[in-house]
Amino acid sequence: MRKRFIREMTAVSVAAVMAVAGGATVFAEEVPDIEATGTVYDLGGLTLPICEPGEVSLTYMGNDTWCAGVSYNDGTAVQQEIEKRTGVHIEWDTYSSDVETVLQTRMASLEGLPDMVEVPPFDSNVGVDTYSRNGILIPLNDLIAEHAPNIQALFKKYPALEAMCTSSDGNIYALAGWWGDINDYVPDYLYIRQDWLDNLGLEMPHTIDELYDVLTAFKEQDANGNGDPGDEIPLATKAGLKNLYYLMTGFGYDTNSLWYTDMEGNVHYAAVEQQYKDMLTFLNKCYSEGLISDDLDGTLLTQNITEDKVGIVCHDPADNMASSDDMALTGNPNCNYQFMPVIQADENGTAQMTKRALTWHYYGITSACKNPEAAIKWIDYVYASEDGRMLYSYGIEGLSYEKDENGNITFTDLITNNETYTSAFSALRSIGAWPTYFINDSGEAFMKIFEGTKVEDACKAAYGNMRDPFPEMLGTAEESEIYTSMWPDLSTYLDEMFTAFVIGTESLDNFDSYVETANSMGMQQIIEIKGAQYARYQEITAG
Amino acid sequence: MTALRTWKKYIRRDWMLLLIILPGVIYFAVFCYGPMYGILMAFKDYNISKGIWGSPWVGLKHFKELVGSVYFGRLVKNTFLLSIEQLIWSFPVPIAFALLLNEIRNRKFQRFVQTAAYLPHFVSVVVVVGILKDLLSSNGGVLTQFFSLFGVTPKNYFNLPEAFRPLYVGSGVWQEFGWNSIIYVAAIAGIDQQLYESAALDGAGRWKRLIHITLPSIAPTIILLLILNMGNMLNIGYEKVILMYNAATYSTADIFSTYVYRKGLLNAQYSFASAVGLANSVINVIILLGANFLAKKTTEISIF
Repeated sequence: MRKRFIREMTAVSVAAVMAVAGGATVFAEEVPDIEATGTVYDLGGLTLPICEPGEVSLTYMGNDTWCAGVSYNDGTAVQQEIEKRTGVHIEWDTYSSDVETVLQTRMASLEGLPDMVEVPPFDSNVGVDTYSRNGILIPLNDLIAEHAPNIQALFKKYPALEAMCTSSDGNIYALAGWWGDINDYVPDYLYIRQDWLDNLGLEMPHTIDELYDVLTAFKEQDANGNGDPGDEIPLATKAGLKNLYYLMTGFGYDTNSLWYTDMEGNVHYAAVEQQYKDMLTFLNKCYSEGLISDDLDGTLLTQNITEDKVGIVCHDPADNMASSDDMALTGNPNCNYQFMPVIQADENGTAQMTKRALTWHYYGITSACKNPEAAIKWIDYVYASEDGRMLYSYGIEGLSYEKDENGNITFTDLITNNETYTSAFSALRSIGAWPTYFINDSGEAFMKIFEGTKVEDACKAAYGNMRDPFPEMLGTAEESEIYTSMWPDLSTYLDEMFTAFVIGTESLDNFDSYVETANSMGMQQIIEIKGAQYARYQEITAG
Repeated sequence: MTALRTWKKYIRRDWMLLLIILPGVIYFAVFCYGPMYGILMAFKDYNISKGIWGSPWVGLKHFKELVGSVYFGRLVKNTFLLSIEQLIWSFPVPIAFALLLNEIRNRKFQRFVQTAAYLPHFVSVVVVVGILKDLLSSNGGVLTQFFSLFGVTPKNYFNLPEAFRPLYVGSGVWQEFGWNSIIYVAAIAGIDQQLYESAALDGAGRWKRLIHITLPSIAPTIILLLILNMGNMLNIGYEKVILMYNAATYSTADIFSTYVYRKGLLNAQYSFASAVGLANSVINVIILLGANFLAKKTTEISIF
């Protein structure tokens, strides 16, 4: 059913493009080599097509589209357009679930290796170390220098990206999925029911004391106005209780990041410092008074939001505020979540929120690839060139967006009024835009999607007022060995103790012995490793 | 010479039976015996490009790492307790259910009950845990509201370490008892009806017939399944535990497989994961052999 829908949409797009061909062909004539649908943008020195149509075929293995029911295998419009422009055919070996397991098995057995791969395990960079040392990921430095002008330009623009892609031996074995651009725009913090504040005649909280008063009011009064003063959950977390460390800005920390550096550039881990105890004491008080949801891993969050029960959501990016609104609107037409300012210790506080992490996925070319030149050129196009990034962020001209003579872009009905995919993001993903491979999300396109909404307001307020996140660097062999053997146990302990302190099963009098135990489990060694990695990061970004 | 001739004779006589068993033999050879050399990984630092043979030997390094973990004691305790509680509850319930089912006279009703009882088996464990969390939510959960009628203060049972095993085992029993009873129902169906008739003539009531005919007749099945279940005792999958546990219940819920999942798979430590898997299997084999030995001694029924 969905497949047919997409095929029909592709047919419609071809027709639509023919209709608006007047403006488009002018640009297309300047680059006669490409048979393109719509405007061709800057190629940044890359020449297209990379090869004769169908001459080169490459396999890619990783996540499928993040849009339920749509697979790159179905011939999504954007991927077809990329093939048309580059000439390179991609075999999509993509899965929507259990990708990591399938990938790890294949890579561990060296059977059926793809040419290009999303490096498992995701959300971590240890795979880059493992698979590059094993020779499965090939070094990309020379390939990039010779064939990938756009990636070079991207590295120049974002030294942090180059730093995070560089292994301890100085080589680049994988390209980081890059959120550095979009995360300049999109804040990830707390949002609150403005309508509840209005109902109770309260002001938006700015300090930790004001926050406490608001939480208490939500708890004790009938904030949602349904006649039951007891069903409100004042504060809930997105992905579990441990997200509550975001409130550390209210306790003398400059920003909400557990890993942080001081003025001298020394690396710290907040959760084992004395200041942190004050926050735990506060959270423990809130929890015991029922101000914090007891759904410790956040599984019931969406349901509780839908049932008009959640006052504040902790640790969620601004765009989810819109979807939370949509969920709660079914129960309460007045629902209005607003993004919160950074909670300060007092009125003079200057703490800022931290941007979201710069990367948590890596992509590489494997030793099985017979044509690495074509692969790196293709990657250069989709990951870094302006033309490829237009397809990436906006889709196809005529199908998903229109462009007027001043160059202003507007999304078509397919994106803004899609019946199947109600959010603009899913609609774009359903045609293959905002892909899961070689991620490099565009902040401008994000702002375009949320133009005229309160999400845009929240992003504008945050832009330029956020701290850079702590960089996740690739480790040396020795560092990775220590890290992988110590961190799993240690992080289990830290999570467990955080929860125990907050829900009160462990007394805060034991905070010192908790710090001691953490140190005996290798906390200081992990901090040393992070320190060494931070030093390497600074070296690369400075030079 | 003669041995060879006897073999040939057997093959000529039983070739059809041998043909029938062949797919099973191939299955075990390819999927169970074939991959066994992977056990070597547990004693090596597995390097993908060098392969299993080429990777350097490291002896018991990975086993030492496992035993050296501060959580080792807790993992052993949790894994054993969860397994034992699971066995204690999930083993007898299907037997009792099959016996009860056998006493239902109305065929249509009997079949309806049986089908209804094994339907939950087909529900995904994600859904089961979701339903459970919903029922037990401290904020408006149906069961929580029911308990509060008796003056129990609403709390989230998923955050209580002491509630984890009952919840895990209870939901597992609910989900699987109908399905697991099928084999007993089949065994009961195979009992010679004449036994019941003559017992009835001798004046045995339904209870006596159940105790003296049905139970002894399916006893071999029960013991065989018990031995096999014991051999699988520590093979508790991580999926359901991961769905159910959180940082507040690690103290009772964290078991070997979840630990390996967090440490081995998520961090690509293949050798370490193999070492834990091997240790797990060795313990399972010991339990299996022990149970088999005991069963042989006491009841003369055993699997080999």
